[in-house]
Amino acid sequence: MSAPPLLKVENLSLRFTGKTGSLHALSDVSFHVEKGEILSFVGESGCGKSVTAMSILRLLPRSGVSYPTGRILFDGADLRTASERQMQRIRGGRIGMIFQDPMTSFTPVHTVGMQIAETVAQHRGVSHGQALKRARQMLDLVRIPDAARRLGAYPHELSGGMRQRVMIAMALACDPELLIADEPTTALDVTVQAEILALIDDLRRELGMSVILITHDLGVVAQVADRVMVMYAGRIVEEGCIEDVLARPSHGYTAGLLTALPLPGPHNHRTRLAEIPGAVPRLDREIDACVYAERCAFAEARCRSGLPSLAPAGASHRAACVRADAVAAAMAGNDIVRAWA
Amino acid sequence: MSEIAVAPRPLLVDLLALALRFLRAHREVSVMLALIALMALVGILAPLLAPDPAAINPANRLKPPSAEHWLGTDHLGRDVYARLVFGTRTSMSVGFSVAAATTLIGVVIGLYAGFARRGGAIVMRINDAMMSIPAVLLAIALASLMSQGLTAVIVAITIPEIPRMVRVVRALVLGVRQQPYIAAAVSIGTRGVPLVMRHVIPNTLGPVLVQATYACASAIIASAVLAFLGVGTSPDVPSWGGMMADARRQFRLHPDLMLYPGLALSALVLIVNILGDRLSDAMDPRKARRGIL
Amino acid sequence: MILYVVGRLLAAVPTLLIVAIFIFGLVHIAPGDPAILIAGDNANPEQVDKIRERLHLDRSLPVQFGIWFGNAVTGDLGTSVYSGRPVTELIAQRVEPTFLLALYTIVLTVIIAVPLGTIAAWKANGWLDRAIMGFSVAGFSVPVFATSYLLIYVFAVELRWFPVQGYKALSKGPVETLVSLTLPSIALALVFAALIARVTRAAVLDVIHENFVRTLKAKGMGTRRILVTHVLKTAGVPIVTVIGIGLAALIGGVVVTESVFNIPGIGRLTVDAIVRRDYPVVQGIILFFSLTLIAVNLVVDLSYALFDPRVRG
Repeated sequence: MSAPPLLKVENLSLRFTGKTGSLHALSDVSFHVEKGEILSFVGESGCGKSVTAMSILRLLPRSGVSYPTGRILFDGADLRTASERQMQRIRGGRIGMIFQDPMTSFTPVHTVGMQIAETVAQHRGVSHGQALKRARQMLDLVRIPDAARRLGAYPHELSGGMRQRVMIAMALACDPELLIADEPTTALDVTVQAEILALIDDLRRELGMSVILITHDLGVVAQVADRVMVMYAGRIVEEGCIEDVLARPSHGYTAGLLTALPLPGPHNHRTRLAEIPGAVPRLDREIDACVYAERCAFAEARCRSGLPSLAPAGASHRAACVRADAVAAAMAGNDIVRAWA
Repeated sequence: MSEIAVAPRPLLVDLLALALRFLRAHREVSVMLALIALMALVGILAPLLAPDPAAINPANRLKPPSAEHWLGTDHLGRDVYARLVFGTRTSMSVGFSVAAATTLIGVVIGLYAGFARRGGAIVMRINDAMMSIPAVLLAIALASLMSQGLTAVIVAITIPEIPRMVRVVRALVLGVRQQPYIAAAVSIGTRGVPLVMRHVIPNTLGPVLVQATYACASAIIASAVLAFLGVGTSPDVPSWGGMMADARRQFRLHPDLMLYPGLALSALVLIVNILGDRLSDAMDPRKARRGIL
Repeated sequence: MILYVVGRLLAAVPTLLIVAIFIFGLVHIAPGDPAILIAGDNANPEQVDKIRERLHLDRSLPVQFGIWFGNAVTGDLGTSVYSGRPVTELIAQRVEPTFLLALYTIVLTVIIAVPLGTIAAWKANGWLDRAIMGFSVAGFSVPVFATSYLLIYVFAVELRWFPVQGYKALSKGPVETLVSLTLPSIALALVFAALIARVTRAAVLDVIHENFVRTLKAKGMGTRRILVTHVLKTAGVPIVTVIGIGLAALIGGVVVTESVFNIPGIGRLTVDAIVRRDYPVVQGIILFFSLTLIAVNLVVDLSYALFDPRVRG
């Protein structure tokens, strides 16, 4: 841990304010991304994983969003207070981002070549011809066959997987140090999903960049992530190396996610999938208890009095759970946990 | 699905209560309606509010405002204030009549076009063709073909106005037909006129009302255009458009003769248009959000 | 692409036929003998007979329509009852000022309305949006002749920047022409721009929340470039459509404006023909304008392919 982390988010809180009140969308979120690693955010819809990613690039609407506390340090500079001009240079230049739905994420009326090239021209200030050349290189890089011809294609002429490759090419066209991938495989066919994940993993090795991979799929995490951050109700509930977290899950919610995964093998296809009972708590007020207590299989009386903070659960592993040891012990028999342990 | 809920019954009491609640919730709509009611009242009570608008007094031409003639006199010595007040009648009656006639005819044709399969397509073809004839031009031609009078003006303006209403109603019907509550009503045997009266009309009322309001505004302008060009209306009937036509010759020396009717006309149309906009906003409460830009 | 063009052209044919039937029927819808109607109240029976013969009014209606339509297709719209000259020639003489007035107005409209509508959508619900939309409602509430006289009073009578009335033909120099058409064009453009600004706002609002705008922002593109190069081009189809449809309203405005500013165009010809009950001319003009509208909307349809590659198919 000699080099300083590329990205360091400290005590970030975020509120959505509307006419009817305000929502605590993020509460006291702190994490960091090392150079060259893949950090994965995991959690269900609305847990705050996308909102966290969006706030790094300040892509949330300006009205109705406030940040009561926190710093977002990228290479030492605080993005929360950076000027819009500085942000424009960072977006697409030093931090690239790809989105869930490659169908709607391109301008429908311009060719994909133009859309990659304009990014290059914007950040590099090169001529249109040079930018197009770079666009072609990028399409080669993301393994799109016949790249020169594809430059002239409109988004609707490409398949979903192809479009997501173009999306990656566009995000990486200016050699960013960090790639934020927001559910990059969710909208794709299963076979295509694996290809895209493999591509992201390969490219980060080739280009030496860091990746934040947002997903609700622990299977995806297990495949490529170096570290994982589990979020629930706008908070980080567990965080650590993939090996540690999967080998010794130490939060009731992580345990719940693992139990809910379908198991491979010939005998398991008829078993009913486990589910997590109950619903996410309301976020319109401060909660003075573990946010997951109401749904947790391990909950005790003390879980409902006072908010647990992230505490070490291993060498590079933290969990916000007072029953961490009990959870880990109970999960020791789980197939996935056994496999990682 | 909650959309399968029962369609509202058009009971008079329910409707009145609904209207009252609607007005209380939408202040601007109420204000505009009140202003329109006020202008209608001015039109109705015109004989009590102003002297004879047709009294010619050649000795008293183009006089500035005085105690006797509040806004002065025109080129024939007629009282400008009186003509302005009586002009309200013309504008209001044309506006309301055209809106009512357009709605009635447009809704019937639109319903047919929305429900009839083959006939609907033919009606829409004719409708679209009608829309490619410039409305004002058609109104001028029609008005000149008929004998002079307010009825002729109303008919001449209504005919080019109908296709727009037909288009709105048909689009609504096609939309409503997709709704689950129509399928539900049909599945329990509701057909024909009861289906239309009980389920289709109440659910298309809002947008039709909005379109009727816009038709009213455009009819007021069209009638002023006709009067201004000297087509259809007799010059003896006091109208704002006619007053402006009269004021043309004196424009350089007496621009105020143009100003008063121009202001009155613009104000009335503006009020009706704002009413239409606010009604439309009230029917579609999805407020435009700010983007991330 | 060729199939698309041919399809559109074929679809315009029935529309044209319906319009022609309607315009032909105009004179016959009115109560009374069309020959007397056309001849006017002061005509003697001989004149009425002559008109009846010339317009084939003694034949059956379908035959009359056949003759009229057949002539119209070959460019013969009949002759003026008043001047005895061919209607086509009368219209051709008056096309220049009307065409230039409409073109000038459309250019002004696009310059005013598209930026305003886009800004209003960008700043939706802010004070700027409210101000622009307020201007827009006012714009199409004030009748064009009221605006015209206001402009004449301020810029021609008081400031003397522009002539009060009249038209300078193109042959006498384009600058003169431009100056003489400026006030009428502004008067018309204020109304037209009010409409187009509203539509632009609605079209841009529909697009501005699309995911691709977020992608563009995430690649570091500036707001102006996102709005102009991406959002406006995507929103182009509905905007151009309404400019095409709005031309119908514009033509109505042209008739009034030409009358106010004393411009010898087709609008003035219309009003004169109406006052003289010169119905062949009235029919000819309405047919001419309807044809123009159908043609313009055809071009608009074809221009979709320019904005949206998905139409090209």
